[in-house]
Order: sequence, then C-alpha cells, then structure tokens
Amino acid sequence: MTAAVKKTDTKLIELSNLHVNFKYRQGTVRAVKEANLDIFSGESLGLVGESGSGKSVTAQSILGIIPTPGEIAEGEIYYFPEGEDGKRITLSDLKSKGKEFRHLRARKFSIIFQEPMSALSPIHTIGNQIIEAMMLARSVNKKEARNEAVKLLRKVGIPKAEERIDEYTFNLSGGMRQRAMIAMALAGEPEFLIADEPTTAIDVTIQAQILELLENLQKDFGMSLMMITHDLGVIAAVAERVAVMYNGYIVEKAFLENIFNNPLHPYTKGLINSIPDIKKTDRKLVSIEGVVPHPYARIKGCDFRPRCEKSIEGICDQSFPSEIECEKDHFVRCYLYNELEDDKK
Amino acid sequence: MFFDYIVRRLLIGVFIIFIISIISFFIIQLPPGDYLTTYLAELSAEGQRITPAVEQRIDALRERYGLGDPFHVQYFSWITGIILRGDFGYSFQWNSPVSAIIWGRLGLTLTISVSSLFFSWIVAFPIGFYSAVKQYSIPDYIFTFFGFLGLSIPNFLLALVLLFLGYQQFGVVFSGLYSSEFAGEPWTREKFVDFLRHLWVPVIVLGTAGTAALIRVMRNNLLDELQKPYVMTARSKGLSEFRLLLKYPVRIAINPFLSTVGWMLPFLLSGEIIVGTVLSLPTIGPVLLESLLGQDMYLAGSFVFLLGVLTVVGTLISDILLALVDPRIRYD
Amino acid sequence: MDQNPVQPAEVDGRAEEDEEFYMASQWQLMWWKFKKHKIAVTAVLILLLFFGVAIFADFVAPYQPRSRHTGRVLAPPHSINFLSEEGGFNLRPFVYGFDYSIDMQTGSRIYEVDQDNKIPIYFFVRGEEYELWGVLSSDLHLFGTEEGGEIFLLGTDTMGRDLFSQIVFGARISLSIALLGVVFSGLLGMIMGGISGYFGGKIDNIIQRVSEILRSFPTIPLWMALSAAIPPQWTPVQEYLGIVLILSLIGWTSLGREVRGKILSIKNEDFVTSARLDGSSTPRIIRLHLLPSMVSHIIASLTLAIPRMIIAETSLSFIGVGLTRPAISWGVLLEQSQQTRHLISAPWLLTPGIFVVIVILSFNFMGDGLRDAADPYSSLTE
Repeated sequence: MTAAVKKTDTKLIELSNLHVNFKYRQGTVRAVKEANLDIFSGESLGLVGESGSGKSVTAQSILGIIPTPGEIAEGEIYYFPEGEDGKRITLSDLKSKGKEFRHLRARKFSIIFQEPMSALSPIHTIGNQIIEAMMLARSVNKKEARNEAVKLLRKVGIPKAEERIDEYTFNLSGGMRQRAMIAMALAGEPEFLIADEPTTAIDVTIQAQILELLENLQKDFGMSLMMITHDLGVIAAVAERVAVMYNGYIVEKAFLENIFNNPLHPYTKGLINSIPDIKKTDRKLVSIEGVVPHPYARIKGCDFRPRCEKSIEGICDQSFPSEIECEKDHFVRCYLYNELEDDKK
Repeated sequence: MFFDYIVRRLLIGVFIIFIISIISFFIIQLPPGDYLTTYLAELSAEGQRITPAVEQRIDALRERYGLGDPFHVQYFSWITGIILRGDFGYSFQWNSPVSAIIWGRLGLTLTISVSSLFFSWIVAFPIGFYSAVKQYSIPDYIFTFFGFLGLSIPNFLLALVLLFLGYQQFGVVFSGLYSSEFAGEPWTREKFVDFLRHLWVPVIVLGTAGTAALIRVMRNNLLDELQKPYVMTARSKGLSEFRLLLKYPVRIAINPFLSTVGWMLPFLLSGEIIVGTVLSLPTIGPVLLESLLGQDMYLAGSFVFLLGVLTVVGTLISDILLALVDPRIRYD
Repeated sequence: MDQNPVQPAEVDGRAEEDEEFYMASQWQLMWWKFKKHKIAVTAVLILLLFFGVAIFADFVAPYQPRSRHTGRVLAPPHSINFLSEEGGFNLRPFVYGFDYSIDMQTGSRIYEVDQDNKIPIYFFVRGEEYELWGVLSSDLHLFGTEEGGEIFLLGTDTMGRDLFSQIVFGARISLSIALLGVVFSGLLGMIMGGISGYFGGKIDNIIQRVSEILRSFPTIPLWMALSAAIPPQWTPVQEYLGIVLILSLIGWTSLGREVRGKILSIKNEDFVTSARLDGSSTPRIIRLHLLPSMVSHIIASLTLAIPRMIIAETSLSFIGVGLTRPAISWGVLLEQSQQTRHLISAPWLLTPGIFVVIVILSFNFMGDGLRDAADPYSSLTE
C-alpha cells in the first residue's frame, strides 16, 4: 500500500447501505443504491461518475440537504466527531431541518457548488452571504464577522477584498465568484468539505488555480475533502482515494494509484481508457458504448450490463453484484471477480 | 447608474404617453360624424324645429373646437391645450369643460384600483407563499381551485351577485361610494368613514380576479426559486428554514410579484370601468360609457388618454421600485 | 446475496413500458399525459356537451329564443317534480303551472304555483317549428310539454321569453365569438410574433414596442371605444364580425410575445443550426423544425386565451356596447339584470352567468392540462 494510508486512520463519516429515492408522480428514481463508504479525517476522497450517477445526491444526503422529493429510503449515515471509538451521531436519524443538524452544517460540514453564479444569491452582496455563514458558525458580532470575512476573502486569493466584499455576484468573474463561494464554505472552519464539481463552470485556465487553492486550504484547515467530479484529471490532481459511481451504485473504491494502475470494474476501465492521451500518435477518442439508463428504468441484474462487453449471461442479468475486496482497501462490485472471493473462502 | 436607469425609463414613458395620446384621439374620432351632428339628428328626431339660433350656436361650437378640421390639426390643438393650459376640451353632453368633470372621478377610480391592488397583494402573498412551500398539500389544492374560480368569474357578474346577496341578506343595495346624505358634500371625517364603508364592495369585486392571478404568480415564482441552487447553499449554511425562505427565495420571488403592477393596473382600471357602471359609482366608468355612446369625443378621449397615462405612470413607479429592491436591474 | 429489492417480473414490465415510452410520438406522449389530468378531461367533456348543445340549439331548446309568452313576464323557474302533492310517485316528471296576480303597489306580477295544474314533461315532443342550420325543417324538441302546457326551466325574462331557450341559443354566439376571436388573434399573434422572433433586429424592436403599448393600455376602454365606433345600422352579422375583429386586434399581444419567446429559444437550438448548415431554406426551417415544436404550446395558450375573449364579449355586451339584440349572447342576456329592480325581483336573470363561469372554468382547466401535457418529458427528467 501507499504512504497515504496514514491519513485514513480516524473515521469521520460512514455511509452504510444508503438508499436515496426521489418519488415523483411518474415513478420513483432510485438515485443512490446500497452505498457503503467511509470518509476519514483529513483525507481527500474523489467521487467520480457521469452526471446522473448519484454523486451529488450522495453528498447532499450527508449534509441533510437532499432537495424534495428526495429522501433516505434505507440505510444510515454516521458521523464520528471524536473518532470511531468515540461518540457516534446518526445523521440519517436527525431531522434535516432541525436545530442539531443545522448546527452541524453551520460548524462542521460545508459544501461548494458547481455554479457559484446560481449557488450564490443574485440580490445579496457576497459579503452579506459570507458574514451570514460566519455568524451562524461562530459567536461573533457583525463587525467581527465582517473583518473575518475580509481576511477569508484575502486568503482565498481575492484582491482588494475590503472592496470586493460589497460586490454582487454578477459583478465578479467566474473564478472570483468561485473563490467567494469557497470563502463562504470555510467561514465555519469545517471538518468536512464537499466540493461538488467546483471547477466545471470555470475557465480551463483558472481551474488549476482553484484546485490548488482547495488543496492548500484542505491542508491548512486540516479538513476532509470530498471532491465530486466527472473529470478523472481533477481526481488525479486532488484525490488520495477514489470511489466510482455508476447509476446510483458505488461500483469501485480504492486508492488513487490502484484505480489508475489496476482498475477492476469494466466501467472504471472504460473511464480510464477514455482519457485522451496526447502523447499517443493515434488520436482516436475512446468512449464507453451506450448511454446511461433512463432514470425510471429498472434494469434486471447489473446496471452496467447493457453497456458491458464482458457481461456473463445467466449471472450478470440476475441481480446486482455485491461488494468484494479484491486486494486490501480495493473494493469492487462485479461478477468478474466473484471467483477471487470464492478462492479466499 | 441608478439615475441613468430612471432617466431612460422616464424617456420611454414620455414616448409611450405620446403614442397613447395619438391612439386615444384617433379612436374617438373613428365613429362617423361628431357630437353636434348626433345632437342635431336627435333634435330633429324629437320633432323639434332647428331654429337659426340653434344652428348658429352649433356652428359657433364647431368653429371653436375646429370639428371640421383635419385630424392632425384637431389633435394638435387638443394636445397643446392639455400640455400648455391643462385644457382637455369641452364636454358637449355636460355643457362644461372636460377638466371640471374628470379629476374627481379619476381620483376615485384610481383610489378604488389602487386599493384593489393592495388588497390583492396582501391576500395573494401569504396564500401564494403557503401554496408554494406546501406544494400538493390539501390547502394548496383548495387555494388552487379557488384561484381558478376567481379567474373565471367576470367581475361584473361578481358585482351583480354581491348586489343581489346584499339586498337579499341585509336589505341593502350596495351601490355608490357614499350614502346619499353625503353626496355633493365636502370631505369630512364622517364622509370619509362612510366612504370606507362603501369602498370594500368594489374593492373585493375588482380584486378577486387579480388576487387569483397573483396567487398563481407568487406560487409559480416561489416554486421556481425554491428549486434554485442558492436555496440549497443557504440550507448548507445551517440557516433555519423560515429565515432562509424569507431572506432568499421569497425576497427574490417578490420582484416579479411587484412587477405585476405593469399589467395589474391596466387590468384593474379596465375592470373599474365596468364595475363602476354596474354599481353606479361616481367614478369614470359610467361617464366614459355615456360619452362613448354619445360621441362626446373630448370627454371620452381625455378619459381614454388619462387611463393610458395612469398605467404608464404606474408601470414607471413599479420599475423604479423594482430597481430599488433588485440590484441586477440597477446595474443592468 | 440478492439485495435488489425489485422483483424480476416487475423489472420486465417496466422495461417494456420504457421502450414504449421512448418510441412514442410527441402527440402520443401529450395525450397520455393529458389523460392523467382528470379535471382537464372532465372539462373537455363539459365543453363538448356545451358545443353539442350550441350546435343543436333548436332541438335542445323547448322554444325559439324570440317567442314571447304573453302573461308570463319574469316568471320564475319551474321546478321539476316526480312526487305529486298527494305523495304519489310519477315516473314521468311534471311541473306545476302558474297563477299570477298583480301587485297593486309595484305593478309587478306575483306568480303562484297552481297545485291543480300538473303539466307533464315529454321527451322528443313536437313543438315550435324551426329550421336547423337554415336547412332542416323540423318541430322535434328534446323535451317539452304538450300543447297548452309550458315549461320554463330557468324562468322567463322581461319580455316573457324562455330564459333556458335563450341561453341555449346564446351559447352559439358566445362560444363561437370567443373561438373566432382566439383564432384571429392567434393568427395575428403568430404572424407578428413569428416575424419578430425570427428576423429580430429593427422589425422585432418596432413590433415589440407596439405590443408593449397595447399591453400597457387598459383594454376595456379601448374595446369600448372601438365598439362604440360600430355604426348602429350594421346588421347583426357585421356587428358580430366587428366585435371579433376588435377583440383580436388587441388580444394578439400575449400570444405574439409567447411565440416570439419560443422562436428565440428554439432558433439557437442545435437542430435548427444543423438544418441550416445542411442548406435548408428559411421557410423550410420554419415549417419543418420551428412549427412542430411550437404547436403544442400555441394550442395551450390559445385555449387559455378563450376565457379572456368570453369575458370581454360578455362584459361589452353587458354594458351595451358589444352585441345588441336581436343578436343573443350570454352577455346580451345578462344585460337585463343591470337594472337593480329586475335583479332583485328576478334573480334567475343571472343564470346565464353560471354558464359563463362554467365554460370559462372548463377552458381554464383544459388549458392548464394542455400546458402541462405540452412538455411531455418535462417532469420526468427533473
């Protein structure tokens, strides 16, 4: 294993057999299915998958901010404020709009969204919104909060912060907006920060800066970072550990090196193959055949089967495979590796 | 920037008023003939002999108001009279200058319309809020149904039903804006109280359809806003749900709600014309109708023109209000 | 091992449905979605009934709308009975006749139910002769009484004319004028909005300003002024067309704006660009690509515009500047109740209003259902 293992000692958050459903009149969308995932203190975890694979909903369920009509249908989310052996708070049992959960969101957890333009209020200044977060998280008065907010804006690299603080979002550039969003998320000095596609809506040239900023801040604040993205490049740049999602299932979990060097699930393999390699002379783009299933579709057997080249008739079309640990800390949900499991027994 | 915005709006407003004045004058000129021809026809129909004296008087009137002149000449003298001297022309039906008739009635029409506007806002806002936040709840369905019903009843019909019920239940005929003993009296405290007692009938009649429409506007806007990512952001900060709703989505959904003045005011003024006629209010409704039917063109034209001006001014006010509460418009 | 809560059978059924879903045409999808809107479907059925009644008005109404029943001025509605006074049950419904006396103070008639005069109601009876649509001569009526009897389901008006029969005939004009008005203003709106949205630039600017001015103007005074300009010597048909024209001249703006918005949003969509890159001509792009994607929305907006037309016509006729007798519309019928005296002594004069409300409500619900259905995928993917 790698050196990164050290960081993954203290468990902070655990998802256990998590199911999130969205009930519409036309039917139920099962956005997250049977998700098991541990998040450790101080680590940076990458959650990767196509859009609609349930990454964001997974993150929202941890923070108790799943939009209606979504709800946790089954399973638990635990939070360990003092490590795995200490106190355990079952987040999935808390009222998401109740006081206790709100305090946790104000002080312990935070999230950065994809589109700062729409994730920030268009009619309030960024200062107003950061100060609000600050005052919810710490017992400071408005003036102190404002001073802190200016400091924070400087820290995330906004020049002339004392002036910019009174700007509206539509007067800021995309990069500056995202920095303001990050400042707001850090206002409560959270233990756990979710970054939901933080660079997707930003100019390519600025993306690297934002990622670097996030990495540095994560170290400074000593927080856990959950980086949600569809972009393996981002994962490679930021994450130490990776979970791959497909159609609501976490299909593979491993350390970064293992994911890139020894991908197991056919979907992960496909993802990695589809990264364009500029060194290769053959510039043909590789993609995974087929499309993501319709949200209402119920697929018999493995959800990836319709797009999988290696699917085995009589096995893959029966039920969704369960999780197997193929090597240490490398989990996969695929029937191709069932024999390995059997061998172990 | 804000100043520029207001100036720009003002200029547009003046331009629109100019167009409206032409349209108003054109429309009332549409019927063939004029009031004096109609008047003469009426006299002879009644079997009266048209004496040279009458003819002379009519010729003098025709001369004075240039009734035989081409359109643009008549328009020009009418509009310059308004702008320079506040002279809106002469009402042949009433035998008096138009300006002596219109202001009091216009004031009452405006009072009723604006009261209905506030009534609609005050009723629609909490209902729309509730319906959006508790979407698909039983009260939401009930409000939605009553909203549809409110939209489907022509306001004159509602006035008739209220008239009938008022008589049947209380033996009172809801009409007019003050009791007969106050008619023609100067405004006193008693008259004002009496006025308020009469005001609610036209306000409810006029306000119902608007309220129904506004509930839908508020509900739909708020539902849209509730889906926006900034709501989730605010939730992720740990803000309490009620404060969050009021500070973000409601605050933003209020803007399109305010901008409904743009169509609510013309809609209410329109309705007031009819309701005023049904309830025989001392407003412009009944007088406008008579003047149109009798081709009393200066009176009718002035009413149509001033109603247009009122809506332009109303829209202007709502634009300024909107810019005050919404920085996006201010900086545009 | 198998943690999938979905049973295999269910899985298969679902998958087939999905396939059907993907293969369905846009119209099929809309129909499926519309069918789910129960209130909208009910509204359509009610409207069909009303249109049916309007078309076969001569047959449905027991009397011709202009026949006066002397001695029956402002008679109250007859109530239909099955039980007679003595308690016997009659399979054939009947009404009681009226006696009246004159109130010496007011001079108005006071009607009293005459228990001895039972008038049975018959279906498919022979009554007043009529010519359906000007061609079919008949005297068959849906219901009525034998010669000598009388039935006024909704009472009579100030001239002793049967109100129910007048309402049935009034449906013809009230419904058709709204439909025609909407068709005209729809055409105008589509042309103006289409030009505005497709060509943009200066033309768009001018059309936008014009429609803005029209929209910011109180419509009733405009309508009133225009209707007052209709010469009194016009025939009912001319008057009718004049009102339609007036309604649509001012009514096109909202639809125009909608069409323009739709075109603007569709114009830049990929499939139009690719069609243009393929070398398709402009009219072809409009016909093949822009129109189909707009039609559904236009139909929904047109439906929702009908209530405005009905309200406008009814209001104008009610205050006496719209249609006038001998034309009969619901607004014309309501005009009689403008006099408080009549309203109080003969509240049944308001019954045309009930039909107005039912029809408007139905169009509103139908339009609502259509609008929802116009976006067949909308709520599925959200």
